Amino acid sequence: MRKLRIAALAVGVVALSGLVACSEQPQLLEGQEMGKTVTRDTASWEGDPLTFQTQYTRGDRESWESALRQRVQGQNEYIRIGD
Amino acid sequence: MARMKFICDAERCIECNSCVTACKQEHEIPWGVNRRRVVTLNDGQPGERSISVACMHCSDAPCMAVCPVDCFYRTSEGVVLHDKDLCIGCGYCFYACPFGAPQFPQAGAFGLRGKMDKCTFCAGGPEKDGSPEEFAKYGRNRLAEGKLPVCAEMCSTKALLGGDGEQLATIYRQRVMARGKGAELWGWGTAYGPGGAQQRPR
Repeated sequence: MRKLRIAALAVGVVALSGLVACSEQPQLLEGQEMGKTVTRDTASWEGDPLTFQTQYTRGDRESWESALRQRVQGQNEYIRIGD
Repeated sequence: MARMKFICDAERCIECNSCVTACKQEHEIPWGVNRRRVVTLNDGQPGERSISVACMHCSDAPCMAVCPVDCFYRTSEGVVLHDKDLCIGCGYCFYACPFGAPQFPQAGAFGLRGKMDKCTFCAGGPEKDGSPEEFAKYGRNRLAEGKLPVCAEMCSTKALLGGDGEQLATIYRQRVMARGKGAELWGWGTAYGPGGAQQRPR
């Protein structure tokens, strides 16, 4: 009877240790955060003036956002053409 | 600003494929790679609908979560971009993406895959804005030029809209009120959460 208990305990321990593989481990390196590896890109409004850019001032975020807001309204025919 | 999003109005899309053509032309996309494509549901049946599909720049992008080399990043406008110098072409992002957006150019014999390519919301990549290197890897950077994605701006029926999510929602709301139907936005909930929830960049 005692042998049976020990065997059952051993089987339980083996079964539990098998579940360790089911746990999810973080895949990133220590200190690394998802989406933070690439850092060399600059913001869209920063940098030298571009050849085919619209009427906005490079480096001025407000100016860039205003240009885009105006551009979005170009997709709205209730404004572009009228009702 | 602005959280950049796409909307495709299924009531308006006429399956002309000009968004696909404009994208391929603007970025000189190679043969076999389609950053955008038009999907038709119930083709030939009454109630047939078409939608233009590409990377939706999801709020909680699954491609970002599964990438083993963490080559994805999100801009302050919520545009999901990637670094081709880091990409190993494993294809995990393709399996994770609910829109089938990641594309893999054939890089050699025996189906060898190249580095992943996808819609950049016309925002280029990590290279210097407007540089030949950026164009060669990611296509044109229209966002830096103060313009919106060419697919949306070229759309003849304005079925496809791209830009600030709140502005787009206002335009769409106005349309739905005017026509009295077609309020469903396919893919919107999947990409941006219930109600198109806003999420700030990580």
